[in-house]
Amino acid sequence: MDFRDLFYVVVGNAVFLAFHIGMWRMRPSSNPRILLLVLLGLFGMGISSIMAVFFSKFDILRLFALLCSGLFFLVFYLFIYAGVARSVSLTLLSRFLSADTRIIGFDSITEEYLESSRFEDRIYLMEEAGLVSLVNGIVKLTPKGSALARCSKVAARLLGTGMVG
Amino acid sequence: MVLEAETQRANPPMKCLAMSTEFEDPKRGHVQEQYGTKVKEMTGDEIKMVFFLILLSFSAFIVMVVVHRSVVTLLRAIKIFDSAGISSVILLGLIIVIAISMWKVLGNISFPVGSGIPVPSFVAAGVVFLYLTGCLIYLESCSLFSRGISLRILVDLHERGGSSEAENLKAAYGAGLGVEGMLAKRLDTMKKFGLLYIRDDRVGPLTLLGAIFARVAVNFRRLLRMKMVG
Repeated sequence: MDFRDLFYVVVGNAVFLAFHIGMWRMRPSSNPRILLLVLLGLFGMGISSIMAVFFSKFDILRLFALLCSGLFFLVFYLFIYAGVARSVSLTLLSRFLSADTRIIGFDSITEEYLESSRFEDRIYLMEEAGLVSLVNGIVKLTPKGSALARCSKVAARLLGTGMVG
Repeated sequence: MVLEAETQRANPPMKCLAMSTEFEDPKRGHVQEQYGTKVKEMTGDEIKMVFFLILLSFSAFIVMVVVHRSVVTLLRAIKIFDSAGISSVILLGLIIVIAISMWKVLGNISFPVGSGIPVPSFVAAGVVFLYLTGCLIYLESCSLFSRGISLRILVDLHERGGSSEAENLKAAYGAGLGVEGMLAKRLDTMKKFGLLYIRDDRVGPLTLLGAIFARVAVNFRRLLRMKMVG
């Protein structure tokens, strides 16, 4: 991989980020839209690959190296994005930024969370994804949600992480 | 041997340069003009090589996961520790050690097999990137299963027979841990990582590191105009 290949990776990633930021700013949502983000990332990788094929000589090993580095960048960005988009810890941290709330009692933090709709919003998002159904305040697992819950328990046991939440 | 391979990588012999110049070589395939683009025919060796490298990367990832799980299980069994922090340090160390080992091993593999020409450094870098991608997916999965709130809600519902009132779910979140317990756990972790101070029941202020993290998160969320978060 020479500097030209590196340039193709940078261009592909820049296109991905430009589309991502543009779309997210134009249509703000509480949904993290991970699938759309992955598709945009793959589109960026496609741009890098097309540039490499058209502007350099086609070489499968070179293309392999290019795709691997593109994939690494995409997964790394998803890793950061998922944390920033949904992290309760980061939301708590940002709460302490303003001068009048540098020190807060634990009870106030809990009260604030319970009064907000952050927990319910997660349920609404799961309803949108077809994992649960919500009727008159009763949350019910759909077959899809039930399968995901069972798979998650097995996966957590295999990974040895437990599901503390 | 390793030094020799590194020298060959830095100054590839003529045969190796055939990959980046128009050169006719029966072992490497030949370059031809097609629709104004230089196209090099793939050889069976190159395709085999790509499969081999993917397999190598996947094997390294599996070794990393198995060793990590075994070490953590063993240390827990003999009660040396039971901390997510130490498990993360072991994981990070393993990821780095295996990545360096892969780089060294790739320096000693020749392509085509038996030719004595080492794998080009850009291909070796690609393989290491592929392995690191697997490691990131593993890390993300561990984090998602252990701390994912939405997944935990699904499991709570499943354990309650598949349905529950929303208010009860909130109160008994995390098999009875509750929202309070969930917040306390996160604050405690942030204190351990040196992001904020906690004295008795008073939380805050942020440390310098915590303030940097908070500023970056706030600006990132503002840039992407994220509505409800966390």
